[in-house]
Amino acid sequence: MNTNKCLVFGDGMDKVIFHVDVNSAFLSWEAVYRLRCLGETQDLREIPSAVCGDIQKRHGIILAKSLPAGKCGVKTAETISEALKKCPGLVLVAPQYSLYETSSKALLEILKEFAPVVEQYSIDEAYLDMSGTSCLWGSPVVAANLIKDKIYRELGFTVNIGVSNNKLLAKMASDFKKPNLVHTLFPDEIEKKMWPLPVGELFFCGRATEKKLKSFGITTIGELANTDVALLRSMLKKHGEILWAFANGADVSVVSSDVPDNKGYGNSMTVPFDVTDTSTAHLVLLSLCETIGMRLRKDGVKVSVIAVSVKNFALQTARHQKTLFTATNQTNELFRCAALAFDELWDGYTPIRQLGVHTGRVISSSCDRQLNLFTMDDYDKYEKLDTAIDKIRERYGEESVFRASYLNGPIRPLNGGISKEKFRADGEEVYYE
Amino acid sequence: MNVTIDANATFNPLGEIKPRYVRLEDENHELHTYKIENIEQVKEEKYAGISSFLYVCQISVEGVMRQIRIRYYIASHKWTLVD
Repeated sequence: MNTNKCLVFGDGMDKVIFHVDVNSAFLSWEAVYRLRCLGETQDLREIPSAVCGDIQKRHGIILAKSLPAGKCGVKTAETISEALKKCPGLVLVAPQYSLYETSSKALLEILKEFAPVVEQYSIDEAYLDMSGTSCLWGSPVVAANLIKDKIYRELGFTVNIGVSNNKLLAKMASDFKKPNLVHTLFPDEIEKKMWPLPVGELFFCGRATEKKLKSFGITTIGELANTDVALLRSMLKKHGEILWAFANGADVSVVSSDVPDNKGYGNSMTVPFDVTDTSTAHLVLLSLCETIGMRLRKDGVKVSVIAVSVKNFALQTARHQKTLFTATNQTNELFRCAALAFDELWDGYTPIRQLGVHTGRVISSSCDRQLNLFTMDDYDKYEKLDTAIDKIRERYGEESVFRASYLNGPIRPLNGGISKEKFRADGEEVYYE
Repeated sequence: MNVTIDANATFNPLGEIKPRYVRLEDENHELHTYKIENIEQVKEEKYAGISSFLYVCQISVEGVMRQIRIRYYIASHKWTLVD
């Protein structure tokens, strides 16, 4: 009787949302890989260990840490040297992004077996809309445990699952005690489980906001929830309103599996040495434009706003942009514009540590191009060149063809996104001559 | 440590893979080819998202039947001897 009602009418109005979060993702995935694929006997998750970037190239920060490492005081995003001071026996491993992509994909596949709607939030997190599935997998906590156990049994790593009736509460819940646990945070549990927490732990509340709230005497989420909304609005405007709603467990956002169109394409890179001359800076910008151009052409879009960002040795950032008359996705045009913006922005002597190129106002490539009388022929030529280069790179590798100015130089011909070394397990460096 | 090995296998019309022979190195670093006498068990695994088939089989070493476990990684097409 009950079952029939379920099938025809659904579970009623109550939404059930899960937030799945892999415990120490990069570290756990590496641990499973070593145990199951390489046949090692040491489980990285049981000893103080961490995944970190290159120590030589100024990328050296902790990307993920094991629970024992966390107990030693190691924190994510601090530098390797800081971490080693706190924990001298810390085992360091290099990142393997292709492994993480494989693990993430397998995780999503299992989640899709259970939930009608799955929204991937990041490489190791996803929201599931489990509303109306109690006839399939049982009540929310039962279903969450089924999912968690299946993931561990089949893929070898553990996750935390937060259960509630909206995304915000589910996400807050998955962050409670770890690892390998299911936590609920329904509206009637907010007072007991969420309000005692420090206000900085509320989703959307960053360090700056936390400081501001503390200066007003608001230290816990509960205090924030019970503060007059008008006061918060005057302090933090719209952000204050949102935080008040979150502190009270209100969130109307939907779990959606649609990926929104990219609003802008950008790439940046931290250079392994300080840049002090224009020609080197131009080389970096060109390498970034190469990758951006490839991504734009792959997605079939063009952009008309190009911005350049410069971060100096004192870590101050400045940005300058230019708007093109006609949208483009040609590497050459992107670079010419970026170089112009850069020349206008940089003072010519302050050492640069990081350069970025960001593009905006994305439109589909199929929109007709307004031809400029003076560059008509060049346009066709460069378009054919870009297409040919893309084809060669797709077949033979990204660096199979590149501009001569990069030969024997200190800058790789293509930059931006994830550095190519991280794709190889052995981390071997390859130089092109 | 899991070591990559040489193997011979057959594929049937259903796409099922059966290992037939394996070549293993002994303590003196000599290679010996062994016929897989029988396959006791096949298990599909996907640890860390990496798909593989684990075969528990028997080979005859100097007249004595020995159980070995070999794994076939689908993406890399490699066979490894599991300790």
